Amino acid sequence: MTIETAELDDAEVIRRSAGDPEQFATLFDRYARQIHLYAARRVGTQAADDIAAETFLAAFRRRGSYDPAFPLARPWLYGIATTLIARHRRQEERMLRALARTGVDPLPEPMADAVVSRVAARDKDRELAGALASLSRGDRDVLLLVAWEDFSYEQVAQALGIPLGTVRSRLHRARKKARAALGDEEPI
Amino acid sequence: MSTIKDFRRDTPPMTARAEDAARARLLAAARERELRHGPRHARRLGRRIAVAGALAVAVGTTVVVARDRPRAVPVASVRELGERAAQAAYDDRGQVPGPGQWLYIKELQAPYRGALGVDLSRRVVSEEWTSVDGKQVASLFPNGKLLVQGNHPGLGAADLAQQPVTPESVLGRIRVTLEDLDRRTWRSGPAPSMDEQLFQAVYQLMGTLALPPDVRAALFRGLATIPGVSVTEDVADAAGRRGVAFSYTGRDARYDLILDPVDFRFLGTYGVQTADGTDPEIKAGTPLTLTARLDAKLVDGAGQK
Repeated sequence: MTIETAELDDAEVIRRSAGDPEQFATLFDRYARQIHLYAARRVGTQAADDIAAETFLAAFRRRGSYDPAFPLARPWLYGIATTLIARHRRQEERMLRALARTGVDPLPEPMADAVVSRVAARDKDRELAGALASLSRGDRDVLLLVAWEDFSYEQVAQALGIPLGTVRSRLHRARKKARAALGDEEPI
Repeated sequence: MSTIKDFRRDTPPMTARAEDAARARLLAAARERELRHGPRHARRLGRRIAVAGALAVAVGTTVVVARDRPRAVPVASVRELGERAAQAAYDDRGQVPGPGQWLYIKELQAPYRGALGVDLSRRVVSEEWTSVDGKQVASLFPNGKLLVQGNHPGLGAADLAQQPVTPESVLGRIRVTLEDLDRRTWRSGPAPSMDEQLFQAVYQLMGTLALPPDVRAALFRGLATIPGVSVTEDVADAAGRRGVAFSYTGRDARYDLILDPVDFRFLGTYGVQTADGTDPEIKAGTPLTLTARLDAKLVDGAGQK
C-alpha cells in the first residue's frame, strides 16, 4: 500500500482517485500541457486554456467509466479534448481559411515573437491550411492525432471511440487531400 | 520533416498561469465531490472488479460444460446464494498455493468505448497476476514490461485462513485491516460506510487470491450478510455464459458478480449505470464493465503463464 504515485500507471491513479479524488491531479500533471498544446495548435491558446481545463474536469467526472484494461489514459483524455475542440470547429476552419487566403495565421498567440511567426507563413502552410479547412471534422481529428501526437491507429480508435477500419479510411482520405494540396508531396 | 508535423509547430506552450488556474479548478471539483458526496466507492468497486475479475473461486478448475449437467435451481434469496456457493466451495479443493507464488488470471473483457462505458459488441483479453500474500498485483504493458503495484487491502490467504474460519471472524479480520488502513490513509472527505468498504474488500480478495475452500465458503456466507447485497437471476458474462449474481447497487450503478448457476464457479462481472444524475454524459443503462474469467492458475512468478 505504500507505493509512490510516480510508479502508478494511469489506470491505477484513476482507480485510486475514486476513493481519493485529489489523486486525479496526477493525470493533470502528466498530460495537461501536451493536451493544451494540441488544442492551441488547432484553435488557439485562449480556447486551449478552456479546453485543457474542461478536459480534466470532464475526465474527472467520468473517471468511474474508465476501463482499467488500458494502463495509459492519454488516448482517453485526447478523446475528451477532441469533443471539446469540436465546439470550436467554425473558429478553427475560419482561421485555417484566413491563413490559406492571406498567408497570415490569425491563431491568437500571446508571445512577443508572434508577429514574426505570423508573417513567416510559408506557401506550403497556406496550402496545407486550406486542405485542413476542407477536411471533415472527423478526418481532421484522425489526421492531426497521428501527425502531431504520434498516435497509433489503435490509440486513435480508442480516443475517438471509432472502429479501426474507420481510422484507416479517414486517414487515407485526409492524407489524399493534403497530398493533393501540397502537389503530391507526402504530408506526413 | 514532414509538412503537417511542422504546421504551427511554434505554438506557445501553456502558460504557468493557465496551468495553475486549470489545476485549481480540477482540485476544487475533487474537493467539492468529496464534501458533497463522499468518495464514490460503488464505482471504485466496479473498476476494481473489472481489473481483478473478482471472485476467485475454483482455482485450477477448467471451464467444462457437460452435456448432462444438472439443471440450475433458482435461488430465493442472497442468503441462499451465499449458502449454496459456500457448499460448492467445499467441493472444489483447488490448488494449495505455496509461498512466493502468484495467481495468474486471464479474462475476456468488453473494451471501453471512448469515455463512455464499455463496447458490448467487442472483446479484448486481459491478463493479471496477484501475489499469494495478497500484497502485490502485476500486469503487462503493451511493450511487454511488467508493472507490479500494491494491492488493496493487502491481506493474503494465510491471514484469512487463521482459525477460527467463520463468516464473522473472517469479515472481522478484514474489518480490522480496513479500519487500520482508514486511520493511516489521508482523506479529505468522510470515509464510506464500513459495509461498503467490506463489500468491496471481500470481492477484491475473492477476485485476486487463491483461497482455501473454508475461507471461500466463509466469504460467500459473509457476503450475503452485508447490507445492500442482493441476488440477480440470469446475467450473461462477456463469454455469453449465463449465471446468477451477487449484486450491489450503489448510488448510480449496479455491479453483478456472476456465478455458474449450478456449481457456483465464478464466471465474470457486469456493471451498469442505473441513474443519470452525477455525470450528465453517462445515461442510465450505459454498460460500465463486462468480463468473463477464462483461466486462473497458480504460477511461480509474475508474468508466467
